[in-house]
Amino acid sequence: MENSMNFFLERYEQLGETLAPPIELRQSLRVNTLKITDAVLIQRLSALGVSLEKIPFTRHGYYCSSNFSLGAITEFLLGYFYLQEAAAQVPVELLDLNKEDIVLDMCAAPGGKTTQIAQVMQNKGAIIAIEKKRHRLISLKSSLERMGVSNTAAYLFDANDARFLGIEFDKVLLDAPCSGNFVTDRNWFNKKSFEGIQRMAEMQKSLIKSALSVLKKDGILVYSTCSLEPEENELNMEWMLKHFKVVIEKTNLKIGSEGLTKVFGRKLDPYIANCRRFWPNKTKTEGFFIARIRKLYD
Amino acid sequence: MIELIKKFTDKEVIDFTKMIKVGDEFYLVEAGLRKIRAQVKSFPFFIGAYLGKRDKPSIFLLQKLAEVAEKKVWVNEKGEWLFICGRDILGQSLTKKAEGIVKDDLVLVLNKHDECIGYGTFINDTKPNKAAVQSIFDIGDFLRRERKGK
Repeated sequence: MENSMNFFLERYEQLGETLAPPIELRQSLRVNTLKITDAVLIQRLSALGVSLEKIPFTRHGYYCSSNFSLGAITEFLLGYFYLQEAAAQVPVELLDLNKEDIVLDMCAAPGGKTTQIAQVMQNKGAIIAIEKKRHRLISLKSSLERMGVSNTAAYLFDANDARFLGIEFDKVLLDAPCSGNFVTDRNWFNKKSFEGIQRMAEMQKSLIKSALSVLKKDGILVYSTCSLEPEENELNMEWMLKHFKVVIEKTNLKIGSEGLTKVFGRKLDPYIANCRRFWPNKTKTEGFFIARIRKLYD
Repeated sequence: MIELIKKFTDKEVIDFTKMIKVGDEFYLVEAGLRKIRAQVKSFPFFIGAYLGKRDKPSIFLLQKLAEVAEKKVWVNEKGEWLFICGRDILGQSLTKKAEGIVKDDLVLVLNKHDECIGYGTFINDTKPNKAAVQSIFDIGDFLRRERKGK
């Protein structure tokens, strides 16, 4: 494990960041405004002894702490909140959603971001949520029901085959399967290898290709991972810019650093700086990467 | 699903013309999603507002029923906690009961915030340490269902 940990920490060092694991993560939730207001939920949870603190870079996110499990109380069961990591609440906010949009959520389970999209759209428009693993659909369905979502259709579907849905989407969210990061998994260094990361990056390229094939011209794709590895992030963006008519748009996010434009001595497209990279030591969140991509007209 | 609703009320709780059946589950689906359903040549695992299946109403349907149904009981916090863990409601946990409820009636169970947390069969509320409402379904079913599925 020591060797593997050193290998990854040295890579981060080369990318300009000195990380010292473990990094403690704070539990956080998102208020479901489809069912309750922030003020009323704060009042109810405070009465139960839950401490809440607003997450400054989200609309309805709060850090929370309690001496009991928040995932079993009535307020949770009634769908008044979703336990969602702070960084994971950001991608949906970059989709720039309208109530008329038709949205594709490509790797939807367990449904945190799908239910957040429905919340922003106030249950209007339509969301197609696809998930290729049957057992993960159970948690997706539970989330949709609990959170009171009514504008979504969920399918057992491989995101690589999105074109077979026969629909062009205004917005696509690709929160891609990724290698994860050491903040959320204490045993991460022990489980990961460079070869595994390269395989993951290839799979992500295939998903990006699929996402762009079903996105309308001028539509928005938000690509995110909870990986810190440039192969799954900036290098995939470089590949995408070379192969598709797209731009990476600047965001007005107040959190995260610019995407890397120099990776292990290799100079990348300057537009990649528009991405946001969450170094956990700086953001106090899990490791994260987000890009907002607009598909251009021919 | 219609039969289950009729057990609680004759009033129109939902627009039955928008109701569809997918497998053994019922959903309320608006026109936009109906169009998508027709377009996608695949079986949806979830579509629109979930109503429930057999004797298991969704949270959405429970709240709709609670708005119009008359046979309701209210529980205190301790009773609420035990009920969402799948337990019956003891007489001492009942704080209020609607008029006209008799033995074997189906009753909706509400907490102090007037939120419906399930339903059961009314037995007797005169004995504090005995079951007053026998649980049939509660919203904690979610957690138990998910755990079973994993």
